[in-house]
Amino acid sequence: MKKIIVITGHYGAGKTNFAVNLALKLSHEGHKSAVADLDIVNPYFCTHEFGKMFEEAGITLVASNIKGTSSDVPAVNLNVGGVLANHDVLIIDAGGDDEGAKVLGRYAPELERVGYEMYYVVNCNRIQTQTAEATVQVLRAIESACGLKATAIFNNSHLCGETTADTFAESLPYADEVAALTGLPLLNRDVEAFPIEVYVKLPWFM
Amino acid sequence: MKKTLMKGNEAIAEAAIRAGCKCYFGYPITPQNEIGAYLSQHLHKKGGTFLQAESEIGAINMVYGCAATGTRCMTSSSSPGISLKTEGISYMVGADLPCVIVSVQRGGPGLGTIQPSQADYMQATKALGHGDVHVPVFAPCSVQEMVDITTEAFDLADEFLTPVVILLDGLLGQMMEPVSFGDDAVEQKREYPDWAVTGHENKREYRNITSLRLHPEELEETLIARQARMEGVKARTRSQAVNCEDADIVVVAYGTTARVIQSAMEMARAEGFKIGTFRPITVAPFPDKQIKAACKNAKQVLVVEMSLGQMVHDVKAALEFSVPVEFYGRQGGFVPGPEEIFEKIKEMTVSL
Repeated sequence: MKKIIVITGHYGAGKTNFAVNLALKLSHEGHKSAVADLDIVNPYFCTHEFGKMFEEAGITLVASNIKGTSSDVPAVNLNVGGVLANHDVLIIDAGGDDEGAKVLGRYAPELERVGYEMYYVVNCNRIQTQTAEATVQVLRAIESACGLKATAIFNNSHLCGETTADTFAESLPYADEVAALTGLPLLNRDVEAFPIEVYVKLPWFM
Repeated sequence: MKKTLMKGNEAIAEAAIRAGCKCYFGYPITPQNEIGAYLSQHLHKKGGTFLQAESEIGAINMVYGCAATGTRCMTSSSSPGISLKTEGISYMVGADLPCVIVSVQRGGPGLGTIQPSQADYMQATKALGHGDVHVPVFAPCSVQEMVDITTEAFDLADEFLTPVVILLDGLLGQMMEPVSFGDDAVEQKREYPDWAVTGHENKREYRNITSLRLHPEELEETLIARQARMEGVKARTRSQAVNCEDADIVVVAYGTTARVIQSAMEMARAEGFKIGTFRPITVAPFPDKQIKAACKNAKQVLVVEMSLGQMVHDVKAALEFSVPVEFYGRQGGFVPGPEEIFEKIKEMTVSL
């Protein structure tokens, strides 16, 4: 299989943590995977921080480096065709919101041509996406900024360190409503459907 | 109360709106842009004004003008931007004007890095402007504390007629934590203070707000009166001491590093080391009495900062140089991990 999966969502929905989980899962299943970090809006908590972990798991990281430039913003250097020639799966971790999604627009024609899936990661505990309506509004802004359409919803409702089993259970009606409003499939109706390991951590967590 | 996930920067912005902040003036700089971005979307809904100035200098002078009308207002920036604001801050201190300034530290000097740092401690606590300028500085270490302190900072600024700084770093601004706000309080109608310039309409005395006092007698008198007023702020110093009673070593840090030393202490305690932590919540005025009490049984003190060592001098002075004080720091955007601090603690225990 040759597959492109774009991960998008609001800031703090948990896109990067989901992208890391997905890459590790696909890699363990034997798919040659690559992750492209396209988040140039927020320079904190990005997939490019996981270079070493990816290397050990045999995952290629496509990320620009701030080193050697005189700019304080990361730049994007992704050759979609080149990566796909050597990999089964390319996961694209997009920036949050419509602002972050603008970068994707550059790749939209190519992604349209080769085919893609776009997972919209949602979290009902983030202040800006507490209702299904607000969450769909954010998605519409993202879609119009990047010219791509979401193909599935991933419910990643969490409360960082205060997340419990109830946090996910209580978010189900919300996730179902987002799926219903968008007409898109919900990828995970229970935690077991895609268990999430926490990789994006604050430095004091042991 | 229902909790939501917010970035530190967003939470401060929301807390400011709830504290009755009516005007924000700022100029973008990473890593604090979410403050302005959030206020640009939400402040107008509460009858407020968000204005992106042409520069940091423009922004702080707009804050001066706004504060002179008795309106609650704020600005925020990061290291180089705070440097640009210092002239205006000094003018505000000289004119006894209240405001809240959020300083989200990034690595310096110069443009440095957009990653977190604590290298502006001296700037915030000692040199926020020319003249005898001393402003209260809060140093929260969690998103919830940022929310609570934002309200307190506005109140303190109004009570003591002074700019108040909330000192953060890039990580605190960018990280997300669950946070709850109090119930939506019915907004109290604030009376304009009796010094505010609101237009006299020939019905009252003309008021003048200035930092210019050309007569030495007048300037000296003002300075002494201001210092006396600021003595009152010393009664408001706050801190948090954990496990200090039996501690051989007390580890001291504020902000992000205060979270890390907490983990380092837990590691050390688990292996039988008697370690305590002390965290100043206000770094100016420094909680001298509290740290002295916390360290009364300590054989050594370790100060941890994301700088080459700035708060370490305040700690030594507060302890009157009676306890040996060591320093451990990371710079350049690195946040020290609990393991390396534990290693430093183990090195220190050899000499106990």
